[in-house]
Amino acid sequence: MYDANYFRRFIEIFAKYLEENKEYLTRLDAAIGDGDHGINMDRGAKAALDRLSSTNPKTPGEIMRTVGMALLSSVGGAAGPLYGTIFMRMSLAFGNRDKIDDKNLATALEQALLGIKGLGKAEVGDKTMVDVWEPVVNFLKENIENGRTLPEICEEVVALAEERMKATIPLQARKGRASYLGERSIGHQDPGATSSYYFFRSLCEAIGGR
Amino acid sequence: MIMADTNKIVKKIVVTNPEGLHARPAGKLVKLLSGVKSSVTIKYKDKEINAKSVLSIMALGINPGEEIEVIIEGEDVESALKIVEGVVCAEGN
Amino acid sequence: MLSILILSHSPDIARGLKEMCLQMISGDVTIEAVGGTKEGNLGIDAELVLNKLQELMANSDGVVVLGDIGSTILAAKNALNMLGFPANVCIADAPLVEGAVVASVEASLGSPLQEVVKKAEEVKSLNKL
Repeated sequence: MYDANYFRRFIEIFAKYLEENKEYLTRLDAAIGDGDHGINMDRGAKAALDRLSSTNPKTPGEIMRTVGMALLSSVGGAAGPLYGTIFMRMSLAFGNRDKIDDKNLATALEQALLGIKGLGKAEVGDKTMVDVWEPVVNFLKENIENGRTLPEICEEVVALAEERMKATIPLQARKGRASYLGERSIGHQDPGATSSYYFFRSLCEAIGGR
Repeated sequence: MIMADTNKIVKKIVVTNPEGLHARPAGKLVKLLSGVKSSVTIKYKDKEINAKSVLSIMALGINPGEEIEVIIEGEDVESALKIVEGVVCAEGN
Repeated sequence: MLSILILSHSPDIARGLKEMCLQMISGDVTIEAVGGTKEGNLGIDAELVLNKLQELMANSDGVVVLGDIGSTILAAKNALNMLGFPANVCIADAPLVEGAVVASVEASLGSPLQEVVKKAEEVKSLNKL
């Protein structure tokens, strides 16, 4: 079971990754986008932490909502609505439960995936965050339905997310700003897929199972 | 002047509502007429509009003192006319 | 009871149109308006849109959303996507001022959500001259 403390820890770890990799994400984005993903996500994560400490939400759902709203309003470009959607959808799926079990978590992540697909209309292979999200969520869902728990499959989740992130390098972008580059987008790792890797890695590390 | 057969009324009315037939009275007229079964048409200058459509009434831009012709057809013409006169000839809201 | 959510790039348009619609109806319709950025500049505050929308959803039977141009509609679409496309919210594909007036009046007549949206969208074919 995952409680409010777990989700706070998750946000803190995610924010730490975004801060440490701000320059890296920005460099990735500069190659195929508008070069603001790192700065934007770092600013958004800091805004989220600020709000968490000023409003002090109590349930996992409220925490995710607080983060989603902060990202929505402080992250520019496409990333704000996309990450805002992820956290808002998860918040709605959690409802007002005090503790989230693995099934709830899988459902919430699936809802988040549907949300970003609905927003960006991207599919796997388009060189977007969906390239990480869809296989990872499917993997989680399958395993959790088969009775395994996130702590048990953490290593595999992180490895899969990393592999899928790297697999965006040879792809040609078909969605978002990077798609304007056509073939020149080939050979660069997608920044959205990269921040998504940090997302799942943080989710796993918040357990302490890694 | 009323020219009425069983279920049709045609009547010329001077708008005395000090607001004319602009936003507020237009909204009020549509709301009141929504309970009426008869068709209600307003003729003003060379235009004919459905008095149950708020934008159509507003589009006419009728000021106080102007004359309109009301054509009501259907089964409840009398009550429809009362409503129209009530709004068009109101002395305020 | 239905509610209307007006979205504009301009805080003044949002405020003014809300006032206009409120004056034209008598009865049970909640009209809310969101316009401008957090700083009060031209634009739209996506967070406020989402918050208002959820508030109206919680306190009425359905919400008709109308926006002016581009990013207000995008903000509304994003908000709906975030909420998982709730059945009792519709974006009306209509010019903002005329659509909001018609939607408000129609909603005050007690018409159902789809009917209000339809009436607002019919405004597109209305000739002004």
